[in-house]
Amino acid sequence: MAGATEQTATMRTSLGLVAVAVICVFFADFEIATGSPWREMGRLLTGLVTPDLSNLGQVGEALLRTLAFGFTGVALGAAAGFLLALAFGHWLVRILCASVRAVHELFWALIFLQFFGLNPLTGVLAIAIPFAGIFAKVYSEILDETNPTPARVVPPGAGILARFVYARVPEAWPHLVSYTSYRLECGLRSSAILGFVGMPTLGFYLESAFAQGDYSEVGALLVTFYVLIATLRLWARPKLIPVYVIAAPFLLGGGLPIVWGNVARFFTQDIVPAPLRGETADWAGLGSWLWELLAHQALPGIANTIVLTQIALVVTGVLTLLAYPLISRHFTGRVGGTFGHVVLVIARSTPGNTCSPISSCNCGGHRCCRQSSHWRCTTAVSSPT
Amino acid sequence: MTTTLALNDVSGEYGGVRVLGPLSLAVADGERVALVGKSGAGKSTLLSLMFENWRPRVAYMPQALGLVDTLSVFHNVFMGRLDRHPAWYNLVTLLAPFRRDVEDVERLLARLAMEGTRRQRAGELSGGQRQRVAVARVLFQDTDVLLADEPVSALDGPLAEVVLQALTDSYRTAVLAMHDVELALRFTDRVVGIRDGHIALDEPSKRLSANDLLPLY
Repeated sequence: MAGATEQTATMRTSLGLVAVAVICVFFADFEIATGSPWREMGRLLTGLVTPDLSNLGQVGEALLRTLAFGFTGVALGAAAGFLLALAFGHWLVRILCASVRAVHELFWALIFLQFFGLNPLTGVLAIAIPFAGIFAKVYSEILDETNPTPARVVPPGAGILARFVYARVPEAWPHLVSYTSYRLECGLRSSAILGFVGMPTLGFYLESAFAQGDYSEVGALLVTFYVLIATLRLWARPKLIPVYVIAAPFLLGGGLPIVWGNVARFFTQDIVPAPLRGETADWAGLGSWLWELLAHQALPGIANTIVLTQIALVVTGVLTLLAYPLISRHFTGRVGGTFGHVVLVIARSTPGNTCSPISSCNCGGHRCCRQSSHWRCTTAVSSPT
Repeated sequence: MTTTLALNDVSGEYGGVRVLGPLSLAVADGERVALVGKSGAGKSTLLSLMFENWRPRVAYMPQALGLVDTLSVFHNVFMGRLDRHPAWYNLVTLLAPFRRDVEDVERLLARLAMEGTRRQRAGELSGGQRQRVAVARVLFQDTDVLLADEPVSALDGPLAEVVLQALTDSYRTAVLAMHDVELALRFTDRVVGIRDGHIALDEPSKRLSANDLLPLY
């Protein structure tokens, strides 16, 4: 009985989401940005099958920097997230974590660019901060789900630290490791994307190759990135991870030095509302300025985000239903499974923005990313337990 | 120490329903008590209440054992003495145990016919082996009083006796929940029978035979 009611509830929610998405399509701000999307797509595919590997030095550097930013950012995020997970019971910590993870890595990068400029710190913090918020939430859930009996029978005089590292952490450890390694893959993708705003990672090289119309260079960069992600399990062995994490900060590249004047300016001018800047603060103008901002930028932006997210959610669901037979043992043999693995790696490793030059949905890219990575979080949490 | 352990007018609830008591029970120092009764009678609830009330002095072996599956047998046993060492000692032991502790644990394991399992993970062991790891832990803990819930339920004949002998040798004062009536009579000096959450019988073991306990089941 319970099963039947549950099923209808699930069905109702699913159909409801589809209905909302269909309605949203009529309100979505779709716009074709490029004259001939299919020709662009054709060029990209041609580039993918004719990758130009002559410039290996550049490709190598792009991948090295992508790995360095990914590892440094994820390692910092995991360490900070673990500490935050210990205090996750406190509502202040929960709110802090929710607000830092609500902002996409790319937006964090845009914020840090304002004051650290093209310093490696910008890229590292852009990954580490939102990841810390996500790690804190998931780690604390994993730790909460461990069997409470061992901690209960530990002698009462044992210190809180001993109790924690003996009775809680070891049991959670396999889940912590598997979730962290999954997030490492996400971190590498984020690291690649940060190139689009000027970090020296894959996206930077991709963008310049796109700009020059050099699709074979694009192909070389993407193909090597796919190989890197697809073979993650082979080279990211547990014993080697500490080596990578220690080496990564030294491989970030020099970037540009931090101009401390910019840091000061950011806090004293850039983030000060326009009417309050300058010699005399116009407090009276603040209200109308805020209203303008809210009515013409913030609210329409939020509305568009919600509309596109609803559509993307359903499209993702449909694509997932179509794609999961590719990897499920129930549907595929050995050869089919390998093929499926390749397709799925390509699908999830292609940096989000790569699609925007060829895609007709111009404004959806970044906003949808955030939503889909939350989805990935929930599925990842429920699967190991 | 000659203080008596006592429960006065306690009761136990499970999901809002009273499953035990109200009842009172005292255990004298040096007394070994068997809790018998059919499953669901309230034995585990009573043991759990004793554990909550007499906490700092007792070693508790619950039916669920409380092993950490991902830790080695050694570490699971060592957990019984986490309160005897400073935090740094426990942390170092987690990575590389001290020889003295290894020898102590090895000796206990040998006594329970568990030689050579020190490095195995608790999760890889059979049910009977897991039960003996939990036994080794309470033996290692070595406090005043033992509370054990079905400590030999997964062990057969001779091994069950070896384990009960080890437990009763180390703990003068103990409360053992058991379903094997014969063993209960042989290894304890007092039997408390529980039926429907109340004490239905409380007699010295030597005055009882297995037949006297049948009405409880």
